Amino acid sequence: MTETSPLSAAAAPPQKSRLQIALRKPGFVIGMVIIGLSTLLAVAPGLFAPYDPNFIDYTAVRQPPSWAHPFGTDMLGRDSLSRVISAYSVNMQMAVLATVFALVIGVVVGALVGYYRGLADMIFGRIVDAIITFPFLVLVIAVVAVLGPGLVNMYIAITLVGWVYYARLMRAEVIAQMGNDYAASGVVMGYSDRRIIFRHLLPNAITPVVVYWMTDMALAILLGSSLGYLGLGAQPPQAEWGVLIAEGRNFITTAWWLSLMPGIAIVLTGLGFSLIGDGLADLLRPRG
Amino acid sequence: MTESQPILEVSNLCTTFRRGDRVLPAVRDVSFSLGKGEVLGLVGESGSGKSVTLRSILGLSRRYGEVSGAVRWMGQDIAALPERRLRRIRGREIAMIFQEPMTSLNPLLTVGMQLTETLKAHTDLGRKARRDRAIEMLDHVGIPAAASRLQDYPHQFSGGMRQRVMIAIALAASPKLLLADEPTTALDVTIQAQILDLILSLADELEMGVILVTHDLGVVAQTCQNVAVMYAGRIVETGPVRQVLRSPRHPYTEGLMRSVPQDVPPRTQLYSVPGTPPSLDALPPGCAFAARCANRTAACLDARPALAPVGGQRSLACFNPARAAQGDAA
Amino acid sequence: MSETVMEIRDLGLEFQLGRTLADVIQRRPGRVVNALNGVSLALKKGETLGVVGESGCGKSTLARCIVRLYTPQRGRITYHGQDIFAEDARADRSYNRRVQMMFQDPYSSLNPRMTTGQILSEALRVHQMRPESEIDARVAELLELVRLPQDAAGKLPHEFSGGQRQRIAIARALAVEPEVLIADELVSALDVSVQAQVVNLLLELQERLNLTILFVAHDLRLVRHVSNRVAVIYLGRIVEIGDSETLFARPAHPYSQALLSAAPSLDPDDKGSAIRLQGELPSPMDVPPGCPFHVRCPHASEICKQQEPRLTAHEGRGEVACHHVKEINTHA
Repeated sequence: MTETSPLSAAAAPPQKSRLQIALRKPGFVIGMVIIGLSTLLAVAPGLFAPYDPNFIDYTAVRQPPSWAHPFGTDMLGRDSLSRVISAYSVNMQMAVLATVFALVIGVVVGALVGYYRGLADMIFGRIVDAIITFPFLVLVIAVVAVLGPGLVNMYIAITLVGWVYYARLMRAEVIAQMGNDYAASGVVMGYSDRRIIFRHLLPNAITPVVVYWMTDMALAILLGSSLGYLGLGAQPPQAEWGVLIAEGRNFITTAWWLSLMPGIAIVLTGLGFSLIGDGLADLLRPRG
Repeated sequence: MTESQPILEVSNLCTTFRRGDRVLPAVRDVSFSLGKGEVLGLVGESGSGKSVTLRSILGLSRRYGEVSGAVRWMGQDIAALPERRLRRIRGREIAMIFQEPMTSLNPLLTVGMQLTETLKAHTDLGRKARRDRAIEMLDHVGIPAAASRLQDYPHQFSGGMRQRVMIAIALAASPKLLLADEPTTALDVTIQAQILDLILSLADELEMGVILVTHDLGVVAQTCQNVAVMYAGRIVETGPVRQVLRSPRHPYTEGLMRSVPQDVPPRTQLYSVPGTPPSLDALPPGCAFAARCANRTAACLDARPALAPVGGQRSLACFNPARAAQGDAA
Repeated sequence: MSETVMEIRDLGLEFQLGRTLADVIQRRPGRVVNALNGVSLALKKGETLGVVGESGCGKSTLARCIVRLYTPQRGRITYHGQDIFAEDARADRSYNRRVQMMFQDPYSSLNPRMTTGQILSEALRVHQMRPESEIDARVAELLELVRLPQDAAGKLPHEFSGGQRQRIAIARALAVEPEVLIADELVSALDVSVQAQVVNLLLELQERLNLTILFVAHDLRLVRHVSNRVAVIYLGRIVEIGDSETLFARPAHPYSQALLSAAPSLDPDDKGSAIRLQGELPSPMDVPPGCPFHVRCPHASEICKQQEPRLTAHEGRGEVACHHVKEINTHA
């Protein structure tokens, strides 16, 4: 009965599907293409890498980019392009494995404390306060230091710290959604708490979390390669972008391509995830 | 009913919004005039264009859409005025109040500051005189202990009191026209009655014209001399309140009047207009009300009836209106 | 009158507001909102009881207590003699099936990600109203019942207008075959012409299904039209309750009188009895002592400031909570 905005007129006519709208946004499409190709490289590096990434050739050490070696070769004469490509599987795996457990734990915990509030929520609040006062990287490094270096331990460390960010976001969104009467009407309908939380609140509350997840995957690659660079993540001779950059570090003035090419790969995949996240925000928003 | 020279003449006002690919004709060919001291009610349902019409008069819709047509204020077409010149008219000659006073008052400034700011912009009063005038205004709109409340922030006032503050600010520069956009919709009935009384007595006192946008026919009946009924962006019926409400002739006005449960046996079926208003970007080529209308003929689907005088100061946009009641019209 | 379905006794509920920084500094306790203060009423089989009052008077709180969205601190609600807040009753979700509520805002009371069909079939499945094979047919039947087209089942809430969404909400409530419907401002967010459609539907369904309805609204004309009996609430208390026609024709409590006369008539020459209340509704955080209405009441006397009047029956009228009800109504 109120006209809040001049545009809120009458019921909307049928609109294009959300996917159609999203596909017209160049950013989203570019993001999808980048991540699609990255996934392909990660799944089947052998199809794209021109050489065996671990084939050592002392006759061709630190060669600059050429037709034979588009990204040049490293100090052991390994083909840089092949090593960057073979690193896709480790780095894309990082993007997923370093975030997905945090996502699931965070969503469930956040939804529960947001719904029930009370004591659990207060304890949760303290945990969040405690964790977010430390810089993320410092905390992760501390956990890795305790568990020991390596990929699995790195995933554990990132999950242990990262879930609170998801949970915090989810909790706030669930509380906001509970202001809507559909949550109250679930109670009135006699639905179980589990149904109300997971079937009604969660699908409506999860959009910002999914968008954050995309950004977080980009950050996870960055974090994973930082740890690799520091020697706490993937271990050489495993081809991993952070490891590759670290290997090239000593030759940065003479063989710049060794560090630059994996760096570009990091930027590109990060950009891809961010662009998708942006598009998803529009794609997942409910109408009405 | 004022017969003198109109102070405001709106002719063929059209406002169109665009949202993506959608073209939304929010206001179409709206024409009316307002005499000195006249209170005109603009009624309609959500999306009928009544609020947009009001905003278009003051040039507030230009930023969001295209506005065409003429708005003659004291003989001058203000629809074409540049923003700078329009700003001098807003607040000083034409004031506006909104439905939700909390969002139109600045929460970070005291009420006194907001009042004196308006006075500073629109009058030549000195500092002390502005303060005195501010107290006078608050007192005038019925705020107890006005002097001590200048220091208060909007959130320290209740809903009804905030609307009074809004009115005090709107009227600070003694405007000649007040545009009121659902000023009492957010208020309770007992407070609504107080606020409407206040607006009416101030209008009378200051010889100020008022255009009151509302969806409540009761409010129109109790406060306005003339009424214009809007549907899907157009005025469909207009005339003196007594005549229009007593014997509505447009089937839509009639439907609205009859949907209100007054003087019907309790717990019986109410008259109701079938269907819902059309979406603005899917308006039919003919009469927009045709799909819901009981008097519809083939002509209504093909052509759009124009608003035309039917005698007795009334105008109507309908091919098959209800018959004029006896004693009605000239 | 027929049997009592639900009885509410001395219901009281206070909301504790968090202490603000200013409160802590000044060593004040956190503030308390008195939402309900000793509300008693009985709901009889098949009737519509209207509840009117201004915003913040507690009428929606009352509605939400009845469906157990809020737990009252004092008093009790019994449904067919059973205390609904008793330990063993709380776990019994069949109460929620028997007593359904419909909400004011048709834009937020439906899950935006579920189609009408999903919304209705969920209700049917959870309460096992029909065997799995009959659910689709029942959904179609429900849509028919609230006069929505059959293709509505596949659509999401945003594809409907406000009036249609309220029909979906009604269909959802009826899916579980309740005995009592709580309608909290069911039509106040709708346009006048659509309001009438929904009210008609409600009246018709009540007749057909023998529903008992608590109709909470601030629109007095509407409440008068649909109700058999009406309760007027002021600051969390019932100040007058009685037969709808009598109460609207001859309100006895000065607040009811003022409330009714404030509703603008559709007749331009009927200016009403023009009882204009002085002042504002007091904040429910700061309810005046004695009769809570005395600060605005034209008839207030000493006793009104000190003693809260009790709701008592008066001949030819319903029950009224006013010290001066006799004098006031012999003058009139």
